[in-house]
Amino acid sequence: MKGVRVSSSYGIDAGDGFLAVVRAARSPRGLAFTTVLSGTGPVTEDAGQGAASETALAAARRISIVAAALPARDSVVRRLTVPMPSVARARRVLPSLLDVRLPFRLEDCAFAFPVIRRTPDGRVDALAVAAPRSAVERRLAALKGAGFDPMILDAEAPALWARAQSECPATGTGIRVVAHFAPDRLVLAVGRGEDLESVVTLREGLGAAPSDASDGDRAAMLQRVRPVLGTDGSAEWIWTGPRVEGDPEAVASFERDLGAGTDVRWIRAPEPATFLARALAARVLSAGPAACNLRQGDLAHAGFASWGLAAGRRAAVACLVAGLALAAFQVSLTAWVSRREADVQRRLESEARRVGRLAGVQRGQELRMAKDAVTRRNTALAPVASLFEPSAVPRLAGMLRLARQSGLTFEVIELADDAVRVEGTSPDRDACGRIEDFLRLQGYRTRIRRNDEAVDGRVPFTIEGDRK
Amino acid sequence: MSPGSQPAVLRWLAAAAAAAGLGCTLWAARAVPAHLVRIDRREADLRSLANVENDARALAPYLAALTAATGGIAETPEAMLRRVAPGAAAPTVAAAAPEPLDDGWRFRRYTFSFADVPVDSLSAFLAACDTARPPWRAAQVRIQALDPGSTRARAALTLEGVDRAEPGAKDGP
Repeated sequence: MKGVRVSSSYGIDAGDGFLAVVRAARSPRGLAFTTVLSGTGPVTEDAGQGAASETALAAARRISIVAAALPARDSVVRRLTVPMPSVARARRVLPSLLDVRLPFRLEDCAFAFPVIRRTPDGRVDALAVAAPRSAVERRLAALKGAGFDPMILDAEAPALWARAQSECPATGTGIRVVAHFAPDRLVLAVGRGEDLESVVTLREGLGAAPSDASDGDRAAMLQRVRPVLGTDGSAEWIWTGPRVEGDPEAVASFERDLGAGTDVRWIRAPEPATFLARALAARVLSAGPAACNLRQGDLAHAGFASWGLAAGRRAAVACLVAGLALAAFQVSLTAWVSRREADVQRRLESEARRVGRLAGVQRGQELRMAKDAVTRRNTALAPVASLFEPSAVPRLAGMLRLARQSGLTFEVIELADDAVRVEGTSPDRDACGRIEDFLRLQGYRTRIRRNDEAVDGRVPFTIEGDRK
Repeated sequence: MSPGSQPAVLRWLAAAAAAAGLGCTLWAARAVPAHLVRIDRREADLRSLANVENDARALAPYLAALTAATGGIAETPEAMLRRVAPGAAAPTVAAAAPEPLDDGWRFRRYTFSFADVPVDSLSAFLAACDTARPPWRAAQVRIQALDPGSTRARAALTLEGVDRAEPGAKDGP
């Protein structure tokens, strides 16, 4: 039901001499049905009161919707076609179209359109259900007398038809009849494929004992039913209702009489006694053709009318809260990210100032400014590193020590980090080589030049070298 | 407000809240990624700063050693020469402009030119420079013997070192 979301429902099939109450509940595998009460003949007071109390309690706790049916004899089902493609526009004209098809004034009716759909040929097809308000009042009074106050008063034939689609799916496109055989009536929902087209209600002919029915009654009944089956091929006939199990002879007799000369496939619905109750309960919860509620206007269920309102209010409040929560979350998220960015920016500026020893940094240039500052400082401090390089003194001392040991004399010594030049004399041609070896050990690439021996017998030499 | 108008007001409020939520979501969807990109960039800069800091610390051990090596004002090479070789003729001294370093330190470079100096005085002077704290490093040495016994020489010495400017003193030789 629009605006109301429940997980369970009750369907009540209450007729003369019969009462069935079925509970339907959503489950992972579809709908699960539980028969609360099912019986033909007078229902004991305790059983009836127990079922009524259960439905009333579930309704009061707003956990279940209770649905009953307006008998088909009290309502009218019409198929309407609107020659326009827009469903929304068709909805506006459907009441007028229905009005002219009714035997009573539309103003005095409760009506609904449980099926409205666009057809492939660009028109709108609708199923209309209407019932005089007086019939609705009578039905509600009868149900109240039995202890039931249903929120939904559905139309019997569309409910039967919809349930039959679920439990006994159509196997072709031929005529299909869902027959509800109750102690007080035989209702035929007639259609093709998935479409309910007409409803026939018979009271005569199929009494508790078929033999009791007069030949005239039977003949009249068959005369009304035969046209339903048509003449264009096979038909499906689905038996539902408490009398299908309770009076098999009547069913068999009917099949014999009607089946002569026709190609009818007879089907018995599973658990036929509670079929209508199941249909009513399932229509409330199913996603298929919507249940129509003939409790309208001042006949509407007092408590149920506020359900939709409360559900709408709850949905609005939920939407309000969700919207505000979403907005708050997004604002908080953005604020948090923004704050985090500010923190990272602060850390970056602080680190850049510390590393670069800067008084201030320009936003976005922190790394570059720190790098430049460090490069400048390292360049300026580069001479400090050179102070820790070995000075020329140890090299000079080493050369002088070697000269003393080898009898060399120096005339000129030029010693720098990257170059060396030594001039002197050696007592022989080999002694000066020790100086060259020493300088090579210090990393210089050396060249030695020895001159001719002088008159005093000493050998002048020159050693030059460089290093990186 | 009539009771009947309450649901309508509520619906409008719900629609407004939903629109606000949607609007904030769209706004956040645009703003948050931009913030995240900037945060990533800044964090990458922070990581790069760690490398820069390593570069900045490259010379820290030298400066620490300098600080540890001296507590007071370093002795100038001229004063040192007068102390270790009082008899030596005064050299010609050329001082380069001091280069400011860190924490008040200045890099100094002197060139001492001796026209005629006893080799012993020269050795004592060089030894004193080498063992001073902080040391005066002999970066270049040119010695030319003036007699066959190499007891006297002409010399040019380039000494490098650091000193600290006295508080209030101007930079200068």
